[in-house]
Amino acid sequence: MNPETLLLRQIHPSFVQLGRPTSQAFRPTPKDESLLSVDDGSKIQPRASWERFTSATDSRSAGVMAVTCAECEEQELPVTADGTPYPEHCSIDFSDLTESLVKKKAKVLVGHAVRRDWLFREIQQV
Amino acid sequence: MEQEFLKPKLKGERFQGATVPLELLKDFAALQEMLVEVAKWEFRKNHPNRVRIPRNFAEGVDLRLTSLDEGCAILTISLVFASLFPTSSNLTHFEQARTDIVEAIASAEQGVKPRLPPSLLNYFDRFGRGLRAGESISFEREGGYATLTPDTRNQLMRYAQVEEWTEEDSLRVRISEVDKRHNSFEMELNDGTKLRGGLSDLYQDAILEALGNYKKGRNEYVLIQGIVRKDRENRLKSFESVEHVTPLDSLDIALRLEELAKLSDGWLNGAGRAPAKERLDWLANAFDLFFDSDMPLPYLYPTAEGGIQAEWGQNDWAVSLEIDLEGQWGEYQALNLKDNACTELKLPLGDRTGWNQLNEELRRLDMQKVEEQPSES
Repeated sequence: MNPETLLLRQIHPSFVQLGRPTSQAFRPTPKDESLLSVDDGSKIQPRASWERFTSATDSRSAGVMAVTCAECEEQELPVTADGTPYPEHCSIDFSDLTESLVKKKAKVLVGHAVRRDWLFREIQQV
Repeated sequence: MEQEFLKPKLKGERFQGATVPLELLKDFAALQEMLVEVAKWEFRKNHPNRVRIPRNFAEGVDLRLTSLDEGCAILTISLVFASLFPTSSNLTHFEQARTDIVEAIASAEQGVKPRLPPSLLNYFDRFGRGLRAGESISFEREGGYATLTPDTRNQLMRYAQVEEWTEEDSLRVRISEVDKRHNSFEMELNDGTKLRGGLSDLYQDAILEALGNYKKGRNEYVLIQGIVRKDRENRLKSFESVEHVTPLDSLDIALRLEELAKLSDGWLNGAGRAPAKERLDWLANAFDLFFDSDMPLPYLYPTAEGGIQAEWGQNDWAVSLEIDLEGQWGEYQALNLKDNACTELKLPLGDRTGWNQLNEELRRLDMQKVEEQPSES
């Protein structure tokens, strides 16, 4: 991965209102144990990433947005290409940050993603 | 002759500063009708051999609002007689009727069947209909107060044994059909329920515009306010009379919260607690009462923990308010995306205090926009 590599993030439909995503979409939820799941955009296209994600039971996504490795680095958020549970899988690490910092960094990341706009969107309006 | 008769005490946000909305006076007009009928009922009970009520029984007797006390909304309602010396027995019946009505409310509060017959309890269909959630009307009685709330009124309507009753309501709907020939239209609620309403020149344009949006597939809603008819299971049956039709903002709070109320546990890809319906009702009501209508409406999202996150994009600021619905607290964070300046506050949202702080903070960010704009000179 290089600094411009896109890190693809699935956005849950309830995390979208009138096409606008919440900053929560760019921060780990309690079950994620501080690691935000993304896909390596140099290895998989947004549509294919969405199709794989939504083919699993109980997995819903309104579409795909992205931040770059450089944008994560700017926020001092390490990105690991962990390849688990599938080869393109990466994690953005929010470990050891206060709740306040997690929220701030998520706000900055979603700002970058919104400027980049949706890379893939489910046909149904959200 | 004029005699102080009732001093109902109104509680609720709408009655702050000793004010009473004019629309609630309809309820007191219904109380007057009820009082006359209960007084007649008392007369019949006390004169079992009389077939008819005296012809002039209620003639020249009137209830009037004579004062509104400063400080809080306590109405003084006086019984006014056209003659200087009212028939003393009539006065007794009216006084007994007043006690009967107050005691009926007290019984319903305690879950006890009132002694008034169902036909008279039916007047609570109109008296108390204008009360909103969190509002009440209290009447002094021996040893305390009897308090009429929307819940007590529902209980009274059950004792009235009616199949259906009416309520003032505001519904967020889309207009799916207009039948000009029969002067009616069909509205569709968020949950798919369809109701019919009568079409009037007063709001026909708004209805036709909403129909146009519906046909174009736009997800735009209007707010319809008026009187609805409900059955004993509290299900909507029809729209009795439409009073106002207002196009809704696409970020309308109550509409969005209605949508989020449909979530169930596990909504977030197997995880995620669903927000509780009654807590969302509280939040919708609190926004309605306390959020400054001059400020932009927020985007609203569920949180994994069963709360709600409100977000605003104010110039260079990204603002979030994470709302704990159980504790009625909000964690406010405003981050300036250019210079990283940040304000964080914990806001108590159970009353006006925290909402005032929120309004003030948002206004401060809004003012920055004005200050930062270059002058035109």
